[in-house]
Amino acid sequence: MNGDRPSVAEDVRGVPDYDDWRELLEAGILMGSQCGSCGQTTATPHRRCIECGSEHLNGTELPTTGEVYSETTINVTPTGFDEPYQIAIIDLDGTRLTARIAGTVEIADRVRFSDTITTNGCPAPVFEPIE
Amino acid sequence: MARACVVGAGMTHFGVHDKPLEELFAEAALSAIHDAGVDGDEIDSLYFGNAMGGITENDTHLAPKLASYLGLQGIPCQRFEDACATSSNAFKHAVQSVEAGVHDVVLVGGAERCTPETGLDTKEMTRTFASASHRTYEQPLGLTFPGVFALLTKRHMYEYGTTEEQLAEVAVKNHDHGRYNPRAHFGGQVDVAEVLDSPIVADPFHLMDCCPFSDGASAVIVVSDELAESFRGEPVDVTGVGHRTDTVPIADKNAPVETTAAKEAATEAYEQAGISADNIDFAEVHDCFTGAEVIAIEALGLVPEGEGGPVTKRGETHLSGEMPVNPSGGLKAKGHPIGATGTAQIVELTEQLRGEVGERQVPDATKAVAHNLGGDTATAVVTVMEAGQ
Ligand SMILES: [Zn+2]
Repeated sequence: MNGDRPSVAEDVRGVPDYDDWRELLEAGILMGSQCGSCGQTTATPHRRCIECGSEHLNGTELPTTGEVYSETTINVTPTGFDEPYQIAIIDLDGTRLTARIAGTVEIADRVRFSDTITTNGCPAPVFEPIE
Repeated sequence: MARACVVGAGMTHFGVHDKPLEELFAEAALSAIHDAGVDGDEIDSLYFGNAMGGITENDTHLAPKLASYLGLQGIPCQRFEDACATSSNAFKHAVQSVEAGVHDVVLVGGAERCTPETGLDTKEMTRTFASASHRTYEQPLGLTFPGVFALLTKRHMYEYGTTEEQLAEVAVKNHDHGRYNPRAHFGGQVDVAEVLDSPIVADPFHLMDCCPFSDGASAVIVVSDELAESFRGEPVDVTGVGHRTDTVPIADKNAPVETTAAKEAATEAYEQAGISADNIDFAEVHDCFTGAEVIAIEALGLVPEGEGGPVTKRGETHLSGEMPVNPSGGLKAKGHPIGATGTAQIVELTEQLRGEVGERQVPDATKAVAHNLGGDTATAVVTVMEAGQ
């Protein structure tokens, strides 16, 4: 998806923020936020490290394949959403991210980042099962 | 040693109410005031909880508004919002204020309307509740609150072998308890098959695994330990209040299934009270969904990790069991008017520890714990109360 370049997320200047995250997400890259002090990585931005409190956070490119940590199918949907859909927490080599699922998965299934959906202008990741 | 005492408690029926928040809250507040035997002008402060009135009823700045309706304008009044743990946090601050000598007599409570009486249907209310999930990383996915607890519960089932039947037993038990609570939204004899046959909301939760949308209010009068004997209401001691938070969004939590904030809040509350989970006679826990009760009793240390399901199936958490959980019927049967839930748990603890709840009385109860979660378990308030000496 993102070719051979290793450092697109690492090119983000300064502490990664929501704009960086969504722009890269829409470009097919999962940008995590990694602590320069303790190495803690989260799949979405924070302004200080949730582990050690350091302000030195850098963008880091997350793997686009992972394993389903948990999942549920939402049958009673909120306003703005209609047909039932599956949501899963994905474990990307130790960093977790919540995503939509295209298809059907169970816990421990392997999945890959395949697409985004956009709700009210806000994009979110979609994963699909790896056959 | 008590940090503070509750000398009055009251609540409305939880269910469907077609009346303004100020009238709902006044009913609960007056009932607490009369129970305590407090004169209106003795109340020094109002600590009030409402989670969603700004969204559901276009109603904000509620503390002075509701105080005015009760003739309490003038005193310091404050409103709290921490999703479903809203009024527990109001209670925590009230306890701190009398303990520190800032106030002597404090009215604490919460009120909320969540039924279609607000003009919002199930889809709209589902969206409103989801406002407690992360604005940019969860809401665009369509994550709902049944969905949040479904994610935790599914993982619990995967790790420990908890079954849908065991979850259904929580609903069966709490509906059974609700039969003995005249203020409960629901109560009755249901069986596991009925729960499992009800429509799926977010798997593994069927409709009957979920608490209802309820309207209601609850209130207590909190006073300092030294003043407790000077009121008519029988005092019940508040010996510990633990309050912890966890990371949002849910994917960033280190150990989502253990509900770390609740575990730590329980440890803090037990330490303040100088007791352990073994000393607890009964618990009121945050069973917004059946799976949440299974996880809650483990987080409180009342049962070993992973044993919440089997223990429930064996009947140990029934009123007739060794460790009654949610004798009030819990959120599941009593109802869950968000901002009123925390102090409603305190009302149940107070009345149980006084020994005045009739058919649902836990015999000889002297120590009890209340467990209230906010949002995706990112807020937890755990309170220990003990019968007065
Ligand atoms: Zn760090």
